Amino acid sequence: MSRACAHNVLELASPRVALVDDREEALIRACDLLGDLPLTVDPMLLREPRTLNSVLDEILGRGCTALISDHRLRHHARVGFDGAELVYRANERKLPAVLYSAHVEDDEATSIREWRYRIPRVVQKGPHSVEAIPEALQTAAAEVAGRRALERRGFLTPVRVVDVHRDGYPTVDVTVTAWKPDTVVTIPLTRLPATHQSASSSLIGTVFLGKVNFYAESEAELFFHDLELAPDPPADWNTE
Amino acid sequence: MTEVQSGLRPAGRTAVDTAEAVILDVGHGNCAVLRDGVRCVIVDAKSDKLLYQELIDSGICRIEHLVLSHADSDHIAGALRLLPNEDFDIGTVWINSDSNKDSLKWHELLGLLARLKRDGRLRTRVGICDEQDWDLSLERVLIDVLHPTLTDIGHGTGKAGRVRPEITTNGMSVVLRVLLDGHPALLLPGDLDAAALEQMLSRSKAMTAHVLVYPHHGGHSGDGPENEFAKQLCEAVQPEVVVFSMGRGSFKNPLPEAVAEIRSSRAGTRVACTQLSPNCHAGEPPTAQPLHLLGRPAAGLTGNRCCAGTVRVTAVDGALLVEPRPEDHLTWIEQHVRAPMCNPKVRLPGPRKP
Repeated sequence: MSRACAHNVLELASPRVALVDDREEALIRACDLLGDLPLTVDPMLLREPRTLNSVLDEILGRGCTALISDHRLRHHARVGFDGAELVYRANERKLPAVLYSAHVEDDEATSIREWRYRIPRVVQKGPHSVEAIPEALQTAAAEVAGRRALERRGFLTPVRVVDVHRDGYPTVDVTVTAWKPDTVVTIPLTRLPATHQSASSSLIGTVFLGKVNFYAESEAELFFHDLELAPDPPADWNTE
Repeated sequence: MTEVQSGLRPAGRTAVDTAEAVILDVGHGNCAVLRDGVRCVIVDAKSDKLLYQELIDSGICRIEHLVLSHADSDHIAGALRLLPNEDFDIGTVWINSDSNKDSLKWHELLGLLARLKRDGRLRTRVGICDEQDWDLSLERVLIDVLHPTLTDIGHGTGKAGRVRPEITTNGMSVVLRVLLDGHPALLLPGDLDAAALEQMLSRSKAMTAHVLVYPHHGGHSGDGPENEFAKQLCEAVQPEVVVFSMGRGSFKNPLPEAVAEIRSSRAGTRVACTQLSPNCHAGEPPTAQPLHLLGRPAAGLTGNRCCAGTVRVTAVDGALLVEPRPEDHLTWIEQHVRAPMCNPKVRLPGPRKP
């Protein structure tokens, strides 16, 4: 992946974009939808178990300069990762990547938020979704190049646990005063430090400090990164 | 600054060698930027986004001091979002403890400060009082702490006891007197209440200033008569301009009796509200474009709620200049505001109960 590609993925005449899904019919449909865009779509059907790194290596080996991935990949492909993690790791490896899912609302607080820190854009599949893809890819390319919009920048801020959910995907409800003090946000329990992932009700009231993009407009955009227990004031609090 | 942030206007002014005081229109709350070149002192931080924009536009990269006058949300809320922003170097954050304060914002701000201090991002000073000398000053912006006293912060907020007086959160407000290029330019009293004012008046420290940012957004100063509070305050400060940093919201500030007292006891003194008070213009605000406003960030720009908007004070040719210019501001008021309390011809509504 060259730096130039990362800066502006659509500047090329017809950038090669990998499109990953685990269902053939969905992949064909997505290819059709994206066919109107000035992209060369390189479909990649995941049929069998394989590692995330091997998928990324293959995408890069094909000469793709960007990635669009479905989120729910585990069912048909029986891989050990979701599209959200694939997109996260791709962006981490400087391959601009966008998550493209029909189940955004179902997964955004759990398996998507788990990886949201490096998912610049999540595009909901639908009749008009294709219109959002170019801007999403541009945003991803900008982030890969180190340019995050204010709404995507994480700032250290207090995160307070107000409820714990043990059933299904373990989650906690939190409030972020610096975002919207009265709005409860659900995050995966695994976003908390490893020492605090017991899903015990004793977590309620605990304040953590971590990076949150509190300039984001919507709850769906929020990420929670590097949370750790908020410290008590130090002994030398009153000294310079 | 690493980049121009989306959602904000691009930088419109370049960093110049300016000493100025900017009283941001943040709605109901306070925020003043006292600037000397690319460094500044910020007093209170109701809003972070307007403040952020102001700092970007002014080319300020170093916040030498952030003074939080007291622990109320309309003075500290923006600090929670501003302090972790690494676009700015931050020197020292100054606060006073408040045993009366049990708000989430205050509690979380203390935790954040502890962590940022641990990370070496800033220093903290808990305990700001009138024995601070000129520690907050920049070269051309001198800042004197007039209140509270060392005894006050020793006692802390709380009810009156056998020997201690009652000190409210508002009464613990840090009061600053600011000199711009040697001119007594501003008095920033936070939410100073009547009891604290009385105590200040008993000490013979100079309080005079060209611009008084009226305490508590023009709201109640305690249980006593507001005209008496306004009279005492104005006699001590002798302001030429009184700014009410207020919002066009449910509080209906400033209190008419406070404005009336300023008008009667300080004839000729300019009254400038950052936003258009509902006491002056009920219902929908005027739709006419407010050409008198400074091109600075202001909360009231949304929904045409500005009256004076953001106010700027500078020293020019040996005198203090307060903008928006009074003639432009008054023209707009005369043309568009139904019953401006600042206009001597207007009959004011009666006092409002606390």
